[in-house]
This record gives sequence, C-alpha cells and structure tokens, in this order.
Amino acid sequence: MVSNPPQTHDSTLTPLQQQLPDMPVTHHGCSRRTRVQLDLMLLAIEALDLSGSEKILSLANQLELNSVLSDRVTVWRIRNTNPLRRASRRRPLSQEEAKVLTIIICQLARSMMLKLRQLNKEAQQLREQNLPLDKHPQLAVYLSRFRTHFRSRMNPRRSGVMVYDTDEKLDNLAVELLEKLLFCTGTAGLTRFWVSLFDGEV
Amino acid sequence: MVVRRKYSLPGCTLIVEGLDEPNGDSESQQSTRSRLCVLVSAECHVLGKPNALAGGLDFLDELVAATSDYTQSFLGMGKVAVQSPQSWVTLTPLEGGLHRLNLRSPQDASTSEPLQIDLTTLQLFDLVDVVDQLLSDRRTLPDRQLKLLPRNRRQAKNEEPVSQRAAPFAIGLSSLVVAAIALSPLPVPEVEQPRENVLEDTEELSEAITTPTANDSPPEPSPNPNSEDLAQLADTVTPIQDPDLLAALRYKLYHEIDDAWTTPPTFDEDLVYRVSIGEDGAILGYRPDSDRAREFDDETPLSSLVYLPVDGGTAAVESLAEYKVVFRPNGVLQVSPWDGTSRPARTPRITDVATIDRLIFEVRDALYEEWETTPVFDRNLDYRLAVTEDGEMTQYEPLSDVASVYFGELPIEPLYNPAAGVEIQDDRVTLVPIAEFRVVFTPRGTIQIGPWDGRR
Repeated sequence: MVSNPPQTHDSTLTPLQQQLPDMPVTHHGCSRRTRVQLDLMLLAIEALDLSGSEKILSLANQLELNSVLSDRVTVWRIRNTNPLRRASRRRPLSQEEAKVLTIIICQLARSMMLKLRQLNKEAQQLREQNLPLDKHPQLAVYLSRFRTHFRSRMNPRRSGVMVYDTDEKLDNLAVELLEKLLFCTGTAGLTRFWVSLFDGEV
Repeated sequence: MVVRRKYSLPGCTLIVEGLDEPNGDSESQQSTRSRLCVLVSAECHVLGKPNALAGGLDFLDELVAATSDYTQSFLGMGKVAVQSPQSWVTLTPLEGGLHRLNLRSPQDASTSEPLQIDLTTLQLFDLVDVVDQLLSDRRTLPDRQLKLLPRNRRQAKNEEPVSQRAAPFAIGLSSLVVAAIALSPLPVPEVEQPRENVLEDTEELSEAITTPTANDSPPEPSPNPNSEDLAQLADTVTPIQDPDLLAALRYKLYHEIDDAWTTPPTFDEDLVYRVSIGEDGAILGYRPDSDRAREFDDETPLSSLVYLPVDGGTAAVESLAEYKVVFRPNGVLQVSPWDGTSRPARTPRITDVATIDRLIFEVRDALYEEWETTPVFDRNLDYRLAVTEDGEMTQYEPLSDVASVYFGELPIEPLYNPAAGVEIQDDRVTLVPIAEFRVVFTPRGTIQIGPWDGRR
C-alpha cells in the first residue's frame, strides 16, 4: 500500500514547492510518463501562447525557482529528458526539477484560464456536432501550432511518436492536453496534477 | 445556528447547509464567518441539468472520492471508470469526450433508477473545483480535506479493468510489428562481416548467435528475487514461437528499457542480462549474465520495470520469450533473442530495371544534398542501403567496422525512414518491395553507388 508521502519542510524552498508532497523517486529520476507528460504540457502551452517559452524563464525568476531553472539551456536540457524528443539524452529528471516544471505549468495555465475554458468549450461543441476541430479559428491556430511544434521536436522513429502519425491523432492529443491544462487551473490543480504524474508509478 | 455556504463556478454550484459548532466558543463568534461543522445537506447543481445531486455527509464523501479518483486517472494514466467506496457514485468515460456520472442513493436503491448525468469536461472540471473549494475552506467541514495519493504500480495494474489493461498492447501490436520488421536488418547475402551498432535504434538480430543457449547457462545467484522462479519458469513454460509476436515483443522491450534508462553509464564494459517477458509484454524477471552486470544492476532500470504480480506471488505465465539485453558504456542499448534464433521476414525486391536506374540517381542526389560536412575519415566507407520505390531508405548496413565508426559523419541517418518499409491494409502488414544498393563514401567527399547485385 502507498504510505502517506511526507510533506516537504525546507526553508530554502518556496511555499509552492513546499505545497507539493515528496514522492519516492530513485536515482533513476522520474518515470518515463512523468518526463513525457511535463514536456508535452509545456509544448501545449507554447502552442497556446507564442511567448510561452520566454514566460517559462521569467516566471521561474519571479517565483524564485531560478536555482533550478536558471537559463534557457537548463530548461532545454530538462525538457530533453522526454525520451520522445529528437535531442533526448540519458539524463534523469530529478524530483526538484519535476516540481518546478509542475509549478510553472500550473501558473501558466492559470494565467490563461479564460482561454482554456473557451477552447475546451469550443472543442466539445464541435465534437457534439461532428464537425472538424479546425472549424473554430482560435482552436485551429492552436492545433496547427501544436502539430508543428510536436513534429519538429519529437523523434518520428520512436514508437511513442509513431502512434501520432496523422493530423487527427495529433489533434486529439492536443485537445487532451487542453483538458489537462484546464484541470491545472483549479483550486487544487497544482497538487492534483503533481500527484497524477506519479499515479501508478510509485 | 444554521450555516449555509455556496461555492459556484459557471457550470456548477455546490450548496451546503449545516450547523456550526454545537458548543460554539467565542472564537467562532468573533469570526465573520462561522464554522460549518455538522453537515445537514449538500446539493450540487450542474448548469443545464434538471436534477440536482443531493444528499448528506455520506453522499458528499462518496462524491469527493469518485470525482477525485476519476480526475486522477484523467490526468494520469488515462481515463478509467471509477466507483466510490460504497459505490453510490460512479463515473464512466464516454465516447466523444463526455463523462457519465451515476448517483444511486442507498435508501431507494431498489425502487428507483439511479440518477444519471452526462458531463462535458468543462462541467466535470467545475464540479471537481467546487468540491475542491469546499475542501480547502477551513471554515467549512474542517475535518474534511483533500487527500491525494498516487496509486502504486501494483494497485494501478489491479484496479484497471482487464479490458483496459489488454487493449493498449493489442492495439499497439500491429504498429509494433510494423516497426519491428522495419528495423530488422536484411539477411546478409554475400559478405558476412562483423558489424557494430552505432545508432541506438539499430538492433542486431544476428548478433546473438554465439551466446549460450537457454539450456547450458548455469544457474546463478542474483539480486533479483524472481530469478530462481524464473529459471524454473523458463524450463516449464512454453516458449513463444510466433515470429511476429517475438519481433513485436522485442521492439516493445527495447523501447520500454530505452525510455527508462536515464542514468549516464559509469561502467566500462557491456552489461548483459537475460530478460524474460510474457506474451503481454510484461517483464517477468531478469538475470545478470556476469559479475559486472550484477555489480552495476543499479545503473540499469531493469529492477524498476519488473512486473509485480498483484497477489505477491509469481505471475501465472503461459508462455514467455527470453531476450539478451545489452547495456553498452556509450549509452547504446541492444536487445536480441536470447537463443539467437529469429526469422526475419523476407522482403520482396524491386525487379524493374528502369525503376532501379531511376532510384540510383535519386538516392545519390539525396545523399549529396544531406552531406554537408567535410570527411574526416581516410578510407572508403562501404554501406548497403535498401530503398523503396518512392526513394525512402528503409534499411542500412555498414559493411565494415570503420564504416560503422564514422556513421555519424555520413548523410544516412537523416534519410533513414524504417516506417516506409511496411504497409498496413485492412490490419494486414505487408512489406514494401525494396531495391538494394552498395554505396561507397570516399575521403574526397564523393559518393559511388551501384546495384547490390552488381547488375547495371
């Protein structure tokens, strides 16, 4: 059975970091699903907001998380722990790095809460009417940007990438990420998202 | 005193009514908001739905448990149907992105139909969030707080419905077979050269021929608790024979290990393990093949990937396959059948001379186009390349050690597209015909290309 994970109490950590319970992570770092998920959520954020990647760093500074996310290269290295990436290298994703990415994702999601609600609503309505998802102009922009980002950064030879070999499959992934981002905006979104990253993995 | 609280979002409103502390102390009198300590009723209205979800504290607890579990699966491993502890509330994913909530109140379980509401994701989110607002409100039901825990691997396997458990692999199988066949190197027609891998995804089929077979490897102690059972298993259980399944399993195993191998190697010799997997792709156990492999076991992700049976004993296994897994100090992973036998599919050849002539020029042009670096090698590098009618390069093979050493300098990798080697029609996998060429990269930066069989 899972025992209650200890709450983090370290004065060098920001309140947001302390809010996230420690998970049993070995020296191999976070699991494959955690690494893929965190990177894809950021990819979706970048597709929603063209300045998303700059905001990752400025937000890290603002939230005093820059001891972990110090510069662009570090962000790139951490995101490349996603095994689906073209530039993926053998490097573990530490728990602290995962926490910081989780916080950044949830904060960025909150800042675009209205847009996320709107796009989720549109996607649902189009599905109900059996219309293609790109009928809605804002949604179409998001989907096409997401497809471009995904295809340019992910390694098409990985089986995890091959399953998204059509526009339709990538669009479904993009909408799924929109839904997950919506849940990140909630009252307990930060903790919920963090714990879900380790669901079935500990 | 009766206390009424309302938590609302555009799609959902939660109204709770209750009493403040029975022996209300001065602290709660002074506060502007009194403390709701005893819940009398909870009512949840979803916008556009005529029926409210309503009940007492038990109902609220059940609703919290079900929505929490469902959200966790939604955000985590994938949506699955969930049931609250007393099964008053169930949530089931529907086609088209909807979520079906069923509420069965225990009082009238036998008489009335359960209340059923189909929620959009936005409505589900609003429902989860009003509940979270209540739980995070310290002045409403202070004894109820959001408690979230990830399930462990054993629970997750156990709680998934069997159909869900089997489905992803079954669906993935056809595409895995595709990729596995595409990655298999060609049977070598003339020259049998020692070959060396330089690229992660190139796995060798023929390499394991000299390794010991299953029967003559001595039993040995190992840090893996399953290993003794495993040795018995291997003797008593039928080995998997189906070549397509074997190829698919090998491909799955390769990627599962490769994705989980995150620690940069500190060992300086190849680590070899014998890994057994069941026909569903679960890693049943593994044995280090050397002291080195035992010593550095901790650097490999194998121990964390072994399937843990739910009951704590050994898994009931009907058939299994054994693979040789090699971790190389340069970060390259190799997976091959343990007994070294495998039957790669026979790829049909393009016979039309005009097509072959056209392809020669296309391939040469494409290689020149990609080759931007000045050669650093000092002798000719020979390769065999296989190309489809559309000019897609589906296979390559260095014909000498030195050719494989300088692989990174050559323009092959950007053009390599193994997925083009197969076609799927009506769920049947067929191999796309190929033409083979011998290509020589020279230190002067020129490319010589000719048909593999020498015909021109």
